Formats: sequence, C-alpha cells, structure tokens
Amino acid sequence: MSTSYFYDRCLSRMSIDKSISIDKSIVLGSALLIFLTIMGGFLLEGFFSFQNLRSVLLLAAFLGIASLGQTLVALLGGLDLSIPFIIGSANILLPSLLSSGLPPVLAIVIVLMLGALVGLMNGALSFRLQGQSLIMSLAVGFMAVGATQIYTSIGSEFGGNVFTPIPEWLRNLAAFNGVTFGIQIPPVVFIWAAISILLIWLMRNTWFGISIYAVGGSRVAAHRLRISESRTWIQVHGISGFMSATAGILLLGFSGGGFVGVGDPYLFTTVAAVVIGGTSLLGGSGGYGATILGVLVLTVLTSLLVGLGLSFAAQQAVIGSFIIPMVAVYARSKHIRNQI
Amino acid sequence: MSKIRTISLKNISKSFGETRALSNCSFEAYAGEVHAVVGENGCGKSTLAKIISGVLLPDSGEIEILGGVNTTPLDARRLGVATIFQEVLVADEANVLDNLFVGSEGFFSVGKSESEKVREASELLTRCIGHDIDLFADVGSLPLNIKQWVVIARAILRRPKVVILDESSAALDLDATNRLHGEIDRLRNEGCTVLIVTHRIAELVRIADRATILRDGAPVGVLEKSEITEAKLLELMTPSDRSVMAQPNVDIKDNKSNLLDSIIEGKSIQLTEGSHSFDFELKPGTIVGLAGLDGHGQDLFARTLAGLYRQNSGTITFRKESGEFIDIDGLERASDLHISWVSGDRKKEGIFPQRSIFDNFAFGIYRRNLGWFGKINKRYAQKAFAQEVKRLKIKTGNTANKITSLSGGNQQKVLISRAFADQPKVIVLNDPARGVDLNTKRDLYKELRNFTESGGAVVYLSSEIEEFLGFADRVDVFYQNAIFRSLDYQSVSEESMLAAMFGQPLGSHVEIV
Repeated sequence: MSTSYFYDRCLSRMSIDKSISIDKSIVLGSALLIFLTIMGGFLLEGFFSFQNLRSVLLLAAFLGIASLGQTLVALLGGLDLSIPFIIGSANILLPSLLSSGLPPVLAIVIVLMLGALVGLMNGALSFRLQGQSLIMSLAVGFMAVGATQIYTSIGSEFGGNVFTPIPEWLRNLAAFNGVTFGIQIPPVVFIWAAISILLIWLMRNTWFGISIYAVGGSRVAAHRLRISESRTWIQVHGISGFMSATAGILLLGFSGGGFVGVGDPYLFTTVAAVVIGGTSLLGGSGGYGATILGVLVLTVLTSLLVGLGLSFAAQQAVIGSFIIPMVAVYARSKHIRNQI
Repeated sequence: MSKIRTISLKNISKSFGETRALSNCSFEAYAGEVHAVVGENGCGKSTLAKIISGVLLPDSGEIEILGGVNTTPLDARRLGVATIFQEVLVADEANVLDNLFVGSEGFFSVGKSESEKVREASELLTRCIGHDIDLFADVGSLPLNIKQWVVIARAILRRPKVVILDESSAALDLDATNRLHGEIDRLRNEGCTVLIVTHRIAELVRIADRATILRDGAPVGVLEKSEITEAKLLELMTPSDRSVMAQPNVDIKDNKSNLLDSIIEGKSIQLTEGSHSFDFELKPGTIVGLAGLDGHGQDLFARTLAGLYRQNSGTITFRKESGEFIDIDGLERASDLHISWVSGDRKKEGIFPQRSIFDNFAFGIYRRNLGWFGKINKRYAQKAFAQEVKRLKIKTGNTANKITSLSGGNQQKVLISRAFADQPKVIVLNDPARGVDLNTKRDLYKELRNFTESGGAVVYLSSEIEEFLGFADRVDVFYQNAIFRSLDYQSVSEESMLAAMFGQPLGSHVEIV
C-alpha cells in the first residue's frame, strides 16, 4: 500500500517535471507574445481595447484553423502547400452551391467532404512520391483550385468571385460583430478553442497522436512498432484538407463574398505559425499548442505593424525577418561531430 | 631500423554526452610498422581512429601527426593520413575510376592524366581483387566486396604515410583477407604506418608488429611482435571481474528444456534463392546464438523470425500454447504471437530521437492496451516503466529528457526494457550489445537469462563471438546464407565458431596468413 502510494507520488512528480520541462519553445513563444503585447500597449493607443483584442482573436482563429493541418503535416516532416488553394476553393464553391439552391447545411457538408477528399488524395499521391511531396501538394492544390474555378464559372463570367446571399448564421459565425450566446465575440473564436482543446487532447492521449509523433520521429522505428506510415500520412493530409475547407467556409462568413484568392496569405503564414511556435519542420517534435502560440504571435505582430501604419511590404519584411532567429533557435540540429 | 614517430597522442579525452569514449589516452605509432588497436566494442578504438583521421575533435589532449596537427579530415589528408572506415563509403552513381580518385583534383587544377589513372588503378585493383574489373562501370552495380576493395584502393592510391583500417576486412572472405594482408605488408615495406582497428584477434596475431590494447577508453598495454598472442590479448582486453561472460554458465547443463516442445520450428528454410536450406528449432527456456561473418545471412534469418523479412522458401512456424502451429508471415503476425525485436542499430530502427525517455519506452507498449477510441493507457505505461527502470537499473535522470541525453548503453537498455514490457514469448535481438559498455552487457545477459528461466526463448545475433561463450545454449553459425553448423553449449568456443564462420570442416584450425 505504502509503496504504491510512493510510486504514485513519484509518477505524479514525474509528470509535473514533464510539463515543466516540456519545451523551451513554449516558454520562448510565450515570452515573445507577452513582449509584443506590451510593446503594442506602449506604442499604440487602443491596443488593449475590446475591439482590437476581438479582431486579433478573430484573425487568429482563421489562421489557427488553417494551421492545424500544417502542424500535423510538419510533425510528419512534410509541408502541405495545398492549404491556401483548398481554402480558396471552398470559399468560392460554397456560395456557388448555395446559389444553385442547395440547403446551406448540405452545401457545407459537401464542401467539407470534398476538402477532406482532396486532402486524402494529396496524401496518397505525395506518399507515393516521397521526396516530391512538397511539389505534389502544390500540384494537388492547383488542380483543386483550377477545377473549382471552372465549375463555378459555368454560367458566369467570373470564376474567381462568387456572390450570393450568405445565410445570416454563417455570417454571424465569423464576422467582426458576431455574437456568441450574448457575448460580443464571434463564435469562430470559441470554435477554434474547442477544436484546439480536442486536438491537443487527441495528440497526447490517443494512438493516433502517438503515431504521428512516432512516424515523424523515425519512420523505421515506427514501422517496427507496427505503425503504418502510409495510413498516418494520408489521414493527416485528409485532416489538413478538411480543416482548410473549414477555414474557407468560415472566411466566407467573414467576408460575405466568395473570392478564390482569399487563401493566398495562408501559404506563408501557416508555415510561419508552425515554425514560430517551435514545431520542427523535420518532424517528430512540437505540437498544436506551440502552433497556437505561433498564431497569436503572428497575429499580434501583424496588428501591431498595421497599427504603426506600416505598408504591407514593410510588414512582410518584418515578419519574414522574424522567421530567421526562430529557425535558428528551434530547428537547429547538432553538428554532426557532436552527435553520438 | 631507426624509428620515425608518425603519430603521437597525449592524454586524449573524448566524451559523448555521458559516455566517456576515451579518457587520458596516449598513443604512439612509428613509420614502417603495422600497429593494431585492439579492444572490445565500446573500448574507444573507433573513436581513436576518428580522432587521428580528423573526423572527431578531442575534448582535451595533444595530437601530433606526421609533424602537424589535424582538426579536419582535410587536414589529416594533407598530412598524409588515409582512413578506410568501417562503412563502405562509395558514390554509387559514379564510376570506379572517379570513386578511386575523388578529391585528388582541385576545382581548376587537374591532377593525373586519365591514362595514368587507369594504369595505376587497374594495376592495383587487379592485384587486390585477383582479376580485372571495368573501371568505367558504375560502382552501384558492383557487389559489396568489390566496393570494399574500391575503398581500400582509394586509400592506397593516395600514397599515404599513415593508413587506418577500421574493421575493413569485415566484408572480405578468407582469400581476400589474405590479399589485403599482402597489401598491408607492401605498405609497411614502403615505410608507411598501418593502423589496424579491429576486435578480430586471430587476424592481428598474424600481421601486427605492435598492438595497443584499449579498455574503457584507455590503453592497458602495448605489446611487441613477440608478445602478441591470443591468450595475452584476451587477458588484457578482458577485465578481471568478467564472470558472466568468461565462465560457462553452470545452469545450462541442468536445462530441462530439451524435454519441452519447441516454440519456433523452421523446416527446409531457404533464405535467398539458391542458398542451402536448413532447419531451425527454438525451445522455451533457451538462448540460441546466431553467428557468422557479416553478410552471411544470420541477419536475414533474425529478421525472418521477427517477421521483417520473408524467406525464399520453407516454413517457419510458431507453436501456440494450444498446440496450434502458425506461420510467421510478417511483422503483424510476429507481434500478435508476442515475438519482440530489439535492434542493435538503435539510431535507425530503435529510438525516436526527439522524444523523451519515457515516450520512447511507452510508444512500444501502448499498442496492446488501447482503450476506447484508441485512447492510450498512460498509467499502465508509467507503472511498467517504473518497474523496468528499477529492474534494469537504467540511469535515466529526468525521464522527460530526450532519449538522446542518455549514453548509448542506456538508450539500448530503454529499448530492451520496452521489449521486456511488451509481454514477449520470444525475443529476437540483433547485435544489441553493439557499442554498449561491459556492465550494461552483463546486466543484459542476466536479464535474458532470467527471461528464459521464466519460460521465454531468446534468439541472439552477435557479431562478437566472445559474447556467446558461457551464455548461449546453442550457437547456429551461418555461412553463405544458411546454418553451416549448430554448436551446442559444450562445443561453443571461439575456435569452433570461427572455423564454422569460415565454412571450414569441424575441428580445423583457422589460419589467417
């Protein structure tokens, strides 16, 4: 009895240790986030205003949802470049389906399923052509966005822009002035929070999460534990496609009109959020919790730069130059001489 | 003969994490001698070779090589050091000639003319291999032993003053080994210092002029030619307190497992097309060793048992407790039958380098205890881990630290504990003690013995035949992809195993001239 008590004490201590030493990247990311927030407070009037915080959270939610798949793919050691194109496709396909008279819920389900399907296809193809997976995901994204534009342009002159009345509840989900059960924060923020909690739990507590870390860490060692690399790879890309479609749908609620280029900024920012968070692009270490930090850092930084009146080009330069020290801190592997 | 000192190392130390590979190691070698660096795996001999060739930098100490100091492989090469590493380092896509003369030309400067190269290369290779080979063939299309010769010839063609051979005869057969020794003689007569790094005692007794014996990262003796005998070498290499390994295990004789049904049975197994077929039997409560020169199929066979390779023909079946025989036809099956696999190549097929010590253990045992929706049972894993850490005396520190913070031996212990915790009936180990210190080895032998005593069966592949002495109940020696001879515990000796490894008849003494 007493020994088992002792064991449990030790074990709980062990897990406390674990959560403390879990990642220096979490500590660094949090410090950076706090620093930027304080900077914002000093430099800009109204930085801490409710409106500003709400818009930061809203924009972070879109980026966070779009970065989910990127995080998982990065944990496997890949990159999914189809994300912006699937976002764009979903963003124009949904209004097109709506205007053809489909009930909104059905249309949304169709778009989500198509997103997942494209993701699975991307996964299957890029798995077959390992080493070319980057360009393969780009190719699949191009195909998807091209095909969607052809479809949406049937009977219309402009494939890239689709305008149709959007249901009020979808608008409310993602608009600045959206309301969640009386709270003046759009529901998408809460949706993102719920998805985050669920995913982080899954990653830590299920075989699926373990498989992703294992395959990303060492494919051969994972195989020895009977973890299927192909299955994990394809599943993760499917999730990425699904989440990209989700982001595309929510962005439609945000903007009110379908535009194929709406996903374009997410090509860079999803990868940037992953890297700033501290997930290694080589796979195997990091997680979605880190990406959330990365997303917040990136969004707060952008809002700070916008508030300071920097042009888009200047913002790009600053954000780009952020990536360099981040990669230097996290993604650096030991020199071969010092490896055992 | 006046002695010209070519290599002088003073008080060299080098650590990898917690592992101290060399501690205050001093070493000297002279021109015109064949100098063997001997010791068990993990004694630091490869580290020493890498320091001399500039691949590794020592943590402390002084180096002087041919009157200079080397800090990079390029430095070492300029000074006249040529190293033939254990790994066969060739560019598969380039032809033989380019592989031989790689690096001999600058970006703008041209070295030798092609006809000169062809003449030199063909002369040397014909002498080494025994026949002509096409110098313009892609190296990738050549068999392993020829690739090995390409690597050796590359070093010789540089006209080095110091040549280091790091276990380079591994891929060569007896004939070829003799030809290699001929080349070594020639180099010595030209005034070259030849360092042979090896743990093959028989080989170096014949050829070495001097030998430095390393143990736990420091030299324990330097022998002159007249003093080099197998007995003397073994004595120096072996710590005096090595009981588990050096003395036959008395328990083996009392083994009652002969009466039991076998747990794995192989009938007319043919590993690869055209190889001889053989039978195999594994009984509960026994440890069966697999031995052989590298590339003679023992590795394939171990993989076959673990479901990682499929034999060409024949059957390998597992006998369930119900008496049912089940074909081991893949990894899934092997795992369902509770056959565990532990690889010595932990970097490649063992560890997850970015994960914690605990994760590396737990990843292996979640599978059998998954709950609803694939939920893992962390509590169970933590309990099992705490038990194993205690039992195997793993020095972990904080278990949330990365696995790579551990020494190689402790990493291996974690992987072995993972296999033990996965409720195995049979454990197949592929050279698990590679690069592991002696104490860890001893613990491992003890644990495996305990495991068999509780009814488990062990298949143990090792490239160091000393490991089997007093440990294995039987050693199956492989030669040309088939079991050439099975030696029971009474007839297991270094000599009998070596003879079988070279495909020699029973009772013959292997001479390597």
